[in-house]
Amino acid sequence: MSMLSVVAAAATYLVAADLVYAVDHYLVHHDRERYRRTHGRHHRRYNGTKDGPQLDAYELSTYGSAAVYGMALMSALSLLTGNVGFFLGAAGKLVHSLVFHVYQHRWWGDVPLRRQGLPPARRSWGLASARYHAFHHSHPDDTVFAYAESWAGFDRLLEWCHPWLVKHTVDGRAGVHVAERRA
Amino acid sequence: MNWFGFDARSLAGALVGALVGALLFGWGLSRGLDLPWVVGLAVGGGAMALARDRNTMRGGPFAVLAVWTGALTQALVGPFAEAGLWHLSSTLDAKRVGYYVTSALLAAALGARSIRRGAARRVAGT
Repeated sequence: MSMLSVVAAAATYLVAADLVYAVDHYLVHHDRERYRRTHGRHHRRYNGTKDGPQLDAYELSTYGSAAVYGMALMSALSLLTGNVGFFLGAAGKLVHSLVFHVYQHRWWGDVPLRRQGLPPARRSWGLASARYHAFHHSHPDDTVFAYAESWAGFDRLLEWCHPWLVKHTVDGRAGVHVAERRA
Repeated sequence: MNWFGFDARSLAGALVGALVGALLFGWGLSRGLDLPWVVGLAVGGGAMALARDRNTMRGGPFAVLAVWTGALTQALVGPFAEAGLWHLSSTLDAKRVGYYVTSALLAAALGARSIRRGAARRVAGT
């Protein structure tokens, strides 16, 4: 097995997993009840005064179990294909997700995310930087989507699909609008 | 929030199913019968028998359990043992890939269900 095939497999997983993450992230933002029960606390924590570690137990279990789930699936695929890159890509996604979120929230700082004065996310087709995604955390309803963690292009594609896609979300089917979701 | 979706009962059923499946697959291998999908059938069937609810997400881990159990079994018993666990892929031709994929799909599809009539559907995060 060549190094190139290992790297290609790892990169394929990283990008494919981020597509799944970005789409699910979009969907949870368009499901009022699920947002209230789960993901909403992620945004609330970083828009107020810091109330503990940058990643709390809920966030660690959410990101951790999602990444370990991917690692388990990819372990089977690596076993069947003989290409360890799939598993390494999934392990890399775990590290990336945790480090990404910790870094963008300035784990080591005392200033809440909202007060860090991050510049607005720009509509880009490049790599999603930690700062780009962090802006989404402080401004979850901004019209510039910044759900992606690896390639910002996923957000541009989601924006392009949004007028049609939103009708098929839980909120879209129920006729719920953004303002009502936050109520 | 935990994305795995299984509880203790469905996991116990899947593990017992994996043991039964490994014994059946190993027995078959020692007699020239190559049926890796039996493991997936047993894993999924075991989880389905004990689960109180339905959960799509737990199908993934059970599919992984079926693949690893099949791989471990053939690394210990039968004509593929020489290849060992880490060179499983060298024992796979198109037909055997199909067997393993079938095993994973059976484990996922059955393991996500429950034999209880009217079992509630549980989603991640609840």
